[in-house]
Amino acid sequence: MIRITASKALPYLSASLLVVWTVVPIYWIANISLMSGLELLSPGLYPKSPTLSNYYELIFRENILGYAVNTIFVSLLAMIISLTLAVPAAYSVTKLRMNPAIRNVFLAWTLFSRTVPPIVPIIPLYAMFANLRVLDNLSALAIAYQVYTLPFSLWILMGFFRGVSVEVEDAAMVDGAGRLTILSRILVPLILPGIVATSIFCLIMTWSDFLYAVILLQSQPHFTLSLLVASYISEFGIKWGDLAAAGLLSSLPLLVFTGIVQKYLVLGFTQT
Amino acid sequence: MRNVSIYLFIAPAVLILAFVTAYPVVAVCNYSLYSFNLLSKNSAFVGFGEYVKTLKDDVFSFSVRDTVAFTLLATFSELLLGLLTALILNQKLRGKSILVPLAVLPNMFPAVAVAAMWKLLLDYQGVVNYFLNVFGIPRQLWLASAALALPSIALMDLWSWSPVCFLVIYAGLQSIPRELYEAARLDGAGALVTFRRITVPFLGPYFMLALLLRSIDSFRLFDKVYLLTAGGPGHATETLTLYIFRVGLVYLDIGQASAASFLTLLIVLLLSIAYVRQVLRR
Repeated sequence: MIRITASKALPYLSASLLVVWTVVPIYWIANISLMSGLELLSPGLYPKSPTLSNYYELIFRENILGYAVNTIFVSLLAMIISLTLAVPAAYSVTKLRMNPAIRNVFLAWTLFSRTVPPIVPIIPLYAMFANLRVLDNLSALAIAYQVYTLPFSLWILMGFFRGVSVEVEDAAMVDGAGRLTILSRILVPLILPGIVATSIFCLIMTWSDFLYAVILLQSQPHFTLSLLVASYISEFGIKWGDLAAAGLLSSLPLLVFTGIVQKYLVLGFTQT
Repeated sequence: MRNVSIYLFIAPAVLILAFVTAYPVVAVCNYSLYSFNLLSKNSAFVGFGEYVKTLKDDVFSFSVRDTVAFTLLATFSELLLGLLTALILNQKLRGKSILVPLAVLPNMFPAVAVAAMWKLLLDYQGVVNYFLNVFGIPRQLWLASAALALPSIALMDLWSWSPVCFLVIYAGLQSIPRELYEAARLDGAGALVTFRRITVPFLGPYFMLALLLRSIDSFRLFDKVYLLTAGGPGHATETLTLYIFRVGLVYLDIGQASAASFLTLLIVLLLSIAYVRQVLRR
């Protein structure tokens, strides 16, 4: 009897441990974000007098929306550049008769760029941007983000193009359609869900970046959300309520983005 | 003519890709042979001088030591927890449609938010110390102690990245046909044999991919140490990325930063080659 109960309870027991480990850090930051004043000095397990004052402060005094607008601008621009370049390139690699040697070099190259630590390319890019006087410029940051987003988009889009059967193109070819027409009228609509997923992955990558933003941006009017949260972390123990609220608020869009691409998550992580 | 137009589709992407990935690698090799500072704008050919300077720098050795230690600690704990999570959620359970997304949730938070969260959790007055205290264990200075700082950083990384290992390994588990287990049971195979002959061969490639992805990524460790420990205390959490950042972007010594970058590339190269081969084979 006891054996049977134990074997039935074990899955639920282990799953509950998992839930605790996952939820506690999120609960704690939410808990702190609802506290103010003296309560923050020795926080309890729940806020005794919950308040939204930290959020109010962020939105109306610290102008978090300004940081959000910068983040949205740079993320969208980086995404548009990547997709515009990657869709035709992924199409030609997977669907057109390209020299196999060139194709293999290209494939290996996109994969290899994924493994280079991002600090390495940003050193020469920083030197170049400094010479061109485009430091502290959100558009230049979007170009730098191509280090992450372009190889990723290329690789993931190639997978989606491969999924389309050859007959579809052949039928169009017989009808006398050119390559550009086949791509824009037939293939793109067919893999549209894949293109949307790729765009959202690009947004997620750039939204969560800190390294390139802290290197390339210099003045507060250009700062992104990551830099705002970081500025609270480095202040010693004074504005913990604001830190918690900023950390949560800046993450919210990412939770929404990820919700949309849930189906593609494994693909996004393994890039295959 | 027909062939040329194929390459028109790929040319713009190749151009930008060359600018952001190939050019920097070539430039790093080139800069590393010069003593070149952005502040003074002085530049002189010094051969391998910047490499010698870097290899003689104690902080660089600490960075290699701490990065490798972190990579081992974080990668193996993430694989282990990812595997455990996958095994737990692969059981017969109700509410999986909620549990699976919940298990992935930590990875949705950007690195700075994770750093913020764990700064609050690991604070002297934080919830971790609160519970230690309940069990009679004294409060710890997690991020300010030389012994605990690196494991604390690895703990944050474990929370935010084990979900990726989970997802990849879980996908592997789900790819095993149920009939195989059925057949093994009918043939009278025990649990151990079933695990060795069916689970391991199917799971292997997924496990390998998670291992390579995580070990490559742990060389990128920057945000958490930059924001929470600044490499300290006493060089306990130096990382290669932090080292290159400091030399190149704080001291603006592009020559030495490039030498350190090239050495870092060499260290990661073996992992890179293994990763490229593993993915292309599939």
